[in-house]
Amino acid sequence: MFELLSWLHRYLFIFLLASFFIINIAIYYYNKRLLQPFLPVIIIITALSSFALLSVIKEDTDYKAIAIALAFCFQYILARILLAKLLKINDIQLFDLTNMLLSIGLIALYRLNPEYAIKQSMFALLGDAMYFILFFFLKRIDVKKDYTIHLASIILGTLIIIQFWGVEVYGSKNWLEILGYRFQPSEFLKIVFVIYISTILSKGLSKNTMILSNSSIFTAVAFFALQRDLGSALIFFAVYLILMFVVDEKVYPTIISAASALVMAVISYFAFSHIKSRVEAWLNPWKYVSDKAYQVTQSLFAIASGGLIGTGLSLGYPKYIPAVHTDFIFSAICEEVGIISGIIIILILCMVTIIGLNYSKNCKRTANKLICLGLSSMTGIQTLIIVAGVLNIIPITGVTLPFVSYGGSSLISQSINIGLLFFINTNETGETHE
Amino acid sequence: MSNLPKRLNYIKWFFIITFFGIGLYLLIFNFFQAKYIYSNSYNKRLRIENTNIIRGDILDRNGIVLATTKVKNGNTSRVYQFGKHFSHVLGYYSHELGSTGIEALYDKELSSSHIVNIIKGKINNEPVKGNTVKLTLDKTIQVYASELFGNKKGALVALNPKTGEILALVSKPDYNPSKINSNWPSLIEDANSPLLNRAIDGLYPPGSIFKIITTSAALHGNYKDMEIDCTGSININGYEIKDSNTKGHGTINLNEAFTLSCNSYFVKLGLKLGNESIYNEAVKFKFNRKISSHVISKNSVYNKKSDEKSLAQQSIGQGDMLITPIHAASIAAIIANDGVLMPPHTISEIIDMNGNSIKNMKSIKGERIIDPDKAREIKDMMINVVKSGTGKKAKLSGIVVAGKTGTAENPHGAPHSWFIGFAPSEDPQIAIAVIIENGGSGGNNAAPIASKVIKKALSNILKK
Repeated sequence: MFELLSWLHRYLFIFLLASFFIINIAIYYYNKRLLQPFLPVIIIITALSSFALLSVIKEDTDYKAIAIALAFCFQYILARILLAKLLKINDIQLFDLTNMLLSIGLIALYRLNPEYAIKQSMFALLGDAMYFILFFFLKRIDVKKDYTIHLASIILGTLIIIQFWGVEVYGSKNWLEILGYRFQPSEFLKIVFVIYISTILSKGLSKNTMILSNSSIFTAVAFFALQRDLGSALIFFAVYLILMFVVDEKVYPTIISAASALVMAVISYFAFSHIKSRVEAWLNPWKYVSDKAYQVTQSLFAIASGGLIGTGLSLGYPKYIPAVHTDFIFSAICEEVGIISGIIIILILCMVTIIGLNYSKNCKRTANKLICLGLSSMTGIQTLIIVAGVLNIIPITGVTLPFVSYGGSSLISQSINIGLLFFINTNETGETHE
Repeated sequence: MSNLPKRLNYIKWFFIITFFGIGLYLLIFNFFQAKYIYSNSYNKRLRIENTNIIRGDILDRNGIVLATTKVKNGNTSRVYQFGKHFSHVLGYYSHELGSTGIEALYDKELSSSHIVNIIKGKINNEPVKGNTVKLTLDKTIQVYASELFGNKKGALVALNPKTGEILALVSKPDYNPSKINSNWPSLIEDANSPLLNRAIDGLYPPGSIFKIITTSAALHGNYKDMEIDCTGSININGYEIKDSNTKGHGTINLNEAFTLSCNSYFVKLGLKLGNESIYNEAVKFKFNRKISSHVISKNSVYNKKSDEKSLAQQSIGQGDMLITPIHAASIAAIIANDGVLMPPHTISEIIDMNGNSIKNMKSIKGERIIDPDKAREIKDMMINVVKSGTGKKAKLSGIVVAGKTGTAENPHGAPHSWFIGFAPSEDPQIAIAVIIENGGSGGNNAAPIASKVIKKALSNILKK
């Protein structure tokens, strides 16, 4: 009987996702503000219906699933009200979009392993708290001051600490352990780095700023290469190029940076065996199907077996993919709720990026413009890297799918990312009112 | 930073385009690649038995059951009615080893049923049967062709040139799919690789059957009136190419050279045409490319060279090139069908447990490869090959057969024996390719098998 419910559920799921996306488009591009209240309703129905389904997989009803769904809805609604009332955020759409992604992620994680979903909902609470901590903190400092040196020392200090005290997990030495809790500092460094580069570049592209920003990015990327954190290296560089491209009056400084990155990539291909094996797996996945390319081919099998509407929740076999709950969650979602759901998730993430870019357009101060641009590009680039990776369009680099993948550091840093966008946007619009 | 807003817009469009691009790629992936990726034997999903649904049957074109699932005391077993005769086409289905062939490619269809049927089955507590896959293969022709081969190694592909329907697909040596689990250790160690489907994945030097393509290039390049004096051998930069008739053919034109398969003529013709022209013609005839989106086969290989020695070899189908038997049969089909290739396929229909058709291949579209008049000129030459040339042993009484023989030199011993052709020439019903590994002369060894299969097939088709 469960199978029937699961088969029917995937239609409901796709319908909810599609209507969620269409309503978002209507609100954003056609200014249909009246539709805004439908968004939380759809998110809650999606979470409750999916978790209700997951609770009846076995004979005995699993009340833990229901509890998680209720906890998620509660945190979402509470945070939504508090953001509007306490922080005076008028434009709450970004928060709705990211929470839809979070709820899809929780459903997929609970299906893979309930433990992950329980932890992830705690991380979500911490993420919500970050909005308020961020606003509280930023209101108390003078954002117009120059913090370049402080930011630079934070970045360099953290990179050195990781280099010496880092813990190796999944082949990358980019984790730190404090009081038994492990986290990935690079997730937070990304945000600091965007702010740092933006402040430098906002002063205009002179010889000095060029040298400073270029040496910073190459130092950071070199550290990541040593720590085998290819994903972070790629994201940092892509975001840096985007920032350069925007402030660059001519085009050739950007082209030179891009070219030197390409040269570095080629050198690292020959210098590091792990990079070489990733590239080989990418070029010939079927030749290395049993070793180097095992993970990515398992991901392709999963996506190929779901079809447009999927096998139904818990009726597929996404657990064949190693690390499915972090980097490869997209494949798991495609297998069980279909490629259409996968496409809508991509479109939702596209929208998160575009809304951030429009915040950037509305900013008056150049530094703020660049920070908004850098932060939202980061979400966009990270999505592209991992989705193209699991589809074997590009070599696989271990990064998470924003708001969907399991991971405390990743989810909290993405909340900070959105929080900063909110802060800059309310500040800038606030200034114009005065 | 005056152009900042403009640049911001570029970034925005960059993201919109790449995100939509990935969305589109997912759709393309789903419609064009997913099926083939899913059927890879490393996909562990193929080994999971669906306990709710009894795996569907595989039928031949006339509805004869080729593979079925028997249920005895709750245990299911897969039964292959004609054993090893269909081993490579159908493949096998095993929990331990996964599956191959049609069993893998149509695993999803065979092991699924419409949701309404499953609900009905659950309510009535009756077993639900998966969909039935109906092939284009003809059991009679397949079994006959498979038996003709005896202990010889090689492959045979027969298809309908007007529709692309594959009628028989034989690969030798073969194996018994019902006993795959117990025979597995000896099968994988066998030096003759019985598990390899030679008809679609075997790559062989084409030898003289490639002269069809050289001839097509000559017809398009207006070299059809070239004449040479054949002395029995030709020397290109110190490399000697001999003719089967060592005394030489004397003064000879294109038509005669094709009929007698004169190497000296085609080497000289190739040298006049040049590397570029023959390479382009080979690619036009689907070398280095997929021949059909409905069959997973290896691509035939033609490596472009720039020196005269390689050009001389490639003009007569030797040197740096390889062809699959299914591709060779497709080349015969192109000539038979006036220059149009109908994509070869093995499935005709998928039918659900209530007898409703879910999918069929009626809307298949052809692709023009060469002009109809050029195809007809080559067809006439191929008729002469069987009437008075190297392919005399393919002659049949009352039916005009067209063909081309090949005797392909290779590093593994005696030459491979090739015959490709079609019949009846005025209204082709069957196109065929036969290769016998290390079989010696194509005219003496492959041609008789081809003609017997053609005869059987035509009598079988005319009966209906």
